[in-house]
Amino acid sequence: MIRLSLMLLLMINAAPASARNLSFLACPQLHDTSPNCWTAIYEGETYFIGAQRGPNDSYLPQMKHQVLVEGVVTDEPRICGGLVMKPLRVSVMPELDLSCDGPVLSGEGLTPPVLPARRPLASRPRDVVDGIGSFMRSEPPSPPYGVREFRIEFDYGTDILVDQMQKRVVEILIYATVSEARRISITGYSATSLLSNGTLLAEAEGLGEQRARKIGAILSNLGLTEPKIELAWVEAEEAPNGIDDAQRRRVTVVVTPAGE
Amino acid sequence: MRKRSSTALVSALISAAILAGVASAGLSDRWWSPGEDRDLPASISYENEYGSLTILNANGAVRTKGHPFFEPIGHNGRACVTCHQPSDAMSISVTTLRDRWAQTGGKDPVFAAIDGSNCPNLPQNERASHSLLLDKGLFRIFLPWPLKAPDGKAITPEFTIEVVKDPTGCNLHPVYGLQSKNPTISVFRRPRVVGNLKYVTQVDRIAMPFEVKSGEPLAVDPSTGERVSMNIMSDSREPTLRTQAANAALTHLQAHQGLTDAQLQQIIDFEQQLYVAQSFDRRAGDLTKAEGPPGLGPAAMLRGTPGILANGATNHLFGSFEAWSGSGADSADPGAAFKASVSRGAALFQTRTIWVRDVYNFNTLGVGNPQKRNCVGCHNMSMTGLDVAPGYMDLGTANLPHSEAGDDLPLFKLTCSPKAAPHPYLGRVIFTHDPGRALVTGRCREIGAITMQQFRGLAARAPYFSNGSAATLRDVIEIYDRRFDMKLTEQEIQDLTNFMSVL
Ligand code: HEC
Ligand code: HEC
Repeated sequence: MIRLSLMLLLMINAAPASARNLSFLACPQLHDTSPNCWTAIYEGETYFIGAQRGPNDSYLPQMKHQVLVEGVVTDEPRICGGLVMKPLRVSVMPELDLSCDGPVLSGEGLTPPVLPARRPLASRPRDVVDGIGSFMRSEPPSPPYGVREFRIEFDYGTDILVDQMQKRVVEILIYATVSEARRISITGYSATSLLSNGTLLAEAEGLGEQRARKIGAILSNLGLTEPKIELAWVEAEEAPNGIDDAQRRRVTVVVTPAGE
Repeated sequence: MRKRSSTALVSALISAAILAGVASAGLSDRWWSPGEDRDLPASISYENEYGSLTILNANGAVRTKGHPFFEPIGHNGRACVTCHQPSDAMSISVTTLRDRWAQTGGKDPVFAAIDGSNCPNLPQNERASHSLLLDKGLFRIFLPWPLKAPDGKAITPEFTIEVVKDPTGCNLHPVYGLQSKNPTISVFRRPRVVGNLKYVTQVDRIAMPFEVKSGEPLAVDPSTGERVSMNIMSDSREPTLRTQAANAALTHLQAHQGLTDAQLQQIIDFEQQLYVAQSFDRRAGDLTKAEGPPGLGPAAMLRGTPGILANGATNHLFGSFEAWSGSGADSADPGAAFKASVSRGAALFQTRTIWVRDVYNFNTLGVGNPQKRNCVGCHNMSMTGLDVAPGYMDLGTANLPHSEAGDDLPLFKLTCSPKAAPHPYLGRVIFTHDPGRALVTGRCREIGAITMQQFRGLAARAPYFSNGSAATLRDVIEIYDRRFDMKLTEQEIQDLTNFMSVL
C-alpha cells in the first residue's frame, strides 16, 4: 500500500514543472484521420484523448456518452490539434447523454498520432499471441513468497474489468495458487473525483462493495476456494484532490501465503 | 457471359457432380423423417437455390435406426433431424417448411403445437396458427421468466417486462404467457447449423479464463468444470452440446424422460463428426477443386483449425480467393465473371470500411463508438465467421429502433432499474422483439444481444438472422447498408452476396 502510493507520488513529481493536472467532463469528438483520433474541448482548449488502434491506457470514448478526462497536460507536440496528457485516464460515463452524439469530423489538417508498427497477427491460434491464455502458462513467480498486495483499477462508475485488469486478476490467481495462500483480503473502494472547475463527481454509493464482491466472486469462480476470502469496502471516504482520484477507484487484494 | 445457355449450365452441373464423386439426392428423398431406417452416407449432397451443399460424415456413414438424433424420442413424433435437415445445412429453410406444409397438409410433426405454432392454444390445422414458421422459419422458444440460474436459484433481473404487442397471443395467454402459473416468455428464433461444431465449441484461448467482453469468467461445463465457448444458441444459454441436447429433448421433442447418458453421447459424437458447406455453385461449378480457393467445401471445414483469428491483411477469413481474382479475364470459363465477383466480395468482407456504431459488446469494448471497421472485425473466426470470443452483441436486429423484424413478432417494453447499468445506447427503457442474452443474465445492458452463428451453408437455409428478418442473402447486405449507412454500390452488394452464397 505504502509502496504503491509512493510510486504514484514519484510519477507525479517526475512530470515537468509546467505540468498541470486536469479533470473535466466533456462530449468527445471523433476525427476521420488515419488512425482516427478522439479529442475533447475544455474551456476553449482542445485535448487529445485517444486514437483507434492504440496503444491507449484507457478504453476509447463513446458517442452518446460524456467522458471523464483525468490527466496531466504535457508540453509535447499536439496530436490531432489537441494537447497531449500523460498519464491520461478516460472514463466513459455510464449514463446515456444524447447531446454527446455527433458526426465523425473531417481529419483535414490534423496530425494524427504516430503508432508503433502493428505486430503482424500471423495465422496462429490466438493463444500464441500474448493473451491471458499464454500468460497463464508462463513461468509462475518463484519463492520465497511473502504477503503481496495487488491493485485493480476501474473506470469511473463501473465494476467492469477492462482487459488489462483481467490479466491482473489472473496474476493474483497464479500467485495465490503457487504461494498456497491461506488468506485473501479484498477491499473495494468507490471514489470521488475533484474536477478542475471545483465540482465534485461522486461514484454511486455501494460501488465499493459491489467491486469487492465482484472480485471475490471472480476469484472463487476461478478456483480460489481454499484460502479464506475476506471482504471489506470503503465508500468514497478518501478526500479527492484532482490529482490521483482515478487511481482510487480500485480494489486491493492482499494475498497472505501459507506460513506468513 | 451472363446469357450462357442452360444446356451448358446443366452439363457443368452434371460433370461437376461426377467429378466430385458424391451421392446426390433428388427432391423426393430430401426430407428425413424421424424413425426411418436409412444410412446417412459418408458424404451426401443436396441441391439448393445457388448450387448444392455437401454434408460430410467424417467418421463414415451413420445408420439412423435406433439413433437418438433420428428417432422420435419424445411425444410429438419429432426427432432432432426434424428441424436439423441435411439438405438445409443441418438447419431448416422456410422453403422446406412450406413444402412440408403443402405435402402433409400441415400434419408433419415439425408443426407440433408446442413450438411449431405461434402458440399451442391456437387451432393447429390452420396455416395462420403457424405463420411465423411458414413465413420466416421461426420456432417458438419459451423460457422461464424471471430467469433461474443453472443451480435453480432465482436471479433478480435488472428490468421488468411489459408486453406491448402480442400478435401470436402467447405472451399474454393465461396458460403460456408471462402472467401464467409458470411465467414464461416466448420469443421466436431460427434453428442453427448442427455441424462444423468444433468451431462453435472452441473456447477463446486468448482471454481464457475470462470472457473478455464482460470481464467475468467464462461459463463452465457443469460436468467437467472446463471453460466453454459461450457460442451455442442465439443467447449462449447452453454451455455445452450435452446440456443443449438434453434440453432440446425436453422442449422440442417433448420427451417426458430425459435422454440417457449413452443417448446424449451418441448425439454429441454424431454432431461432432458432421461438416457442412456449399460444394457446388451453378455459376462457378465445383467449389472444391484443388486449384480453386482452399477454404470452400466441407473437407476444408474438417481440415481447418478452430479458434484462429482472421485479420484482413495476412490471414483470410475463409482462405484466400486469389485463385479466382483474375477470373474476369479468362473468357473460356463461363463462371469467370461470377468467380471474380466472389473474390471481390471476399476482399470487401475484410476491407470495406464500416463505421460501426452503437453496438453493445462491440463499441463498448474499448474500441470507441463509432469505430471504423469491417465485417471481419466482428465475424473474425477463420473458416466460420463466428466471433473468436463469445459472440453476443446488440447489432440492432432485435431492438428498436434498428430492428427490421416486422409486426408479426411480439414486442416487449423492458424497463430497467435506475440502479442497473443502462444499455449503453438505449438507456433504461428498451423496446425489443427478443431480449436475447438478457433473458439469461437479467442484465439491462445485454438486452437485444444475439449470439452470431456460423456462415457455412448459408445458401441452403434462408432466412437469416436469429429472427429471420433478412429473407435473402441480399437482404442481409442491404440491412447492413441501412444500419451502418455504408453507401454500398450495387456492385459491392452483388459481390458480398455472391461471396456469402458459396460458403
Ligand atoms: C422444433 C425444432 C427443433 C428440434 C426438434 C431440435 N432443434 Fe436444435 N435448434 C432449434 C432452434 C430453434 C435452435 C436455436 C435456438 C436458439 O437460438 O435459442 C436450435 C439450436 C441447436 C443447436 C445450436 C447450434 C449452434 O451453433 O448454436 C444445436 C447443437 C442443436 N439445436 C441440436 C439439437 C439436438 C441434438 C436436437 C434433438 C435432441 C435438436 N436440436 C432438436 C430447433 C430445433
Ligand atoms: C458489429 C459487429 C458486426 C459487424 C461489423 C458485422 N456483423 Fe454480421 N452479425 C453480427 C451479429 C451479432 C449477428 C447475429 C445477429 C442476429 O442473428 O440477430 C450477425 C449475423 C450475420 C449474418 C447472419 C448469419 C445467419 O446464419 O443468419 C450474416 C450473413 C452476416 N452477419 C454478414 C455480415 C456482413 C456481410 C458484414 C459486413 C457488411 C457483417 N456481417 C458485419 C455482427 C456483426
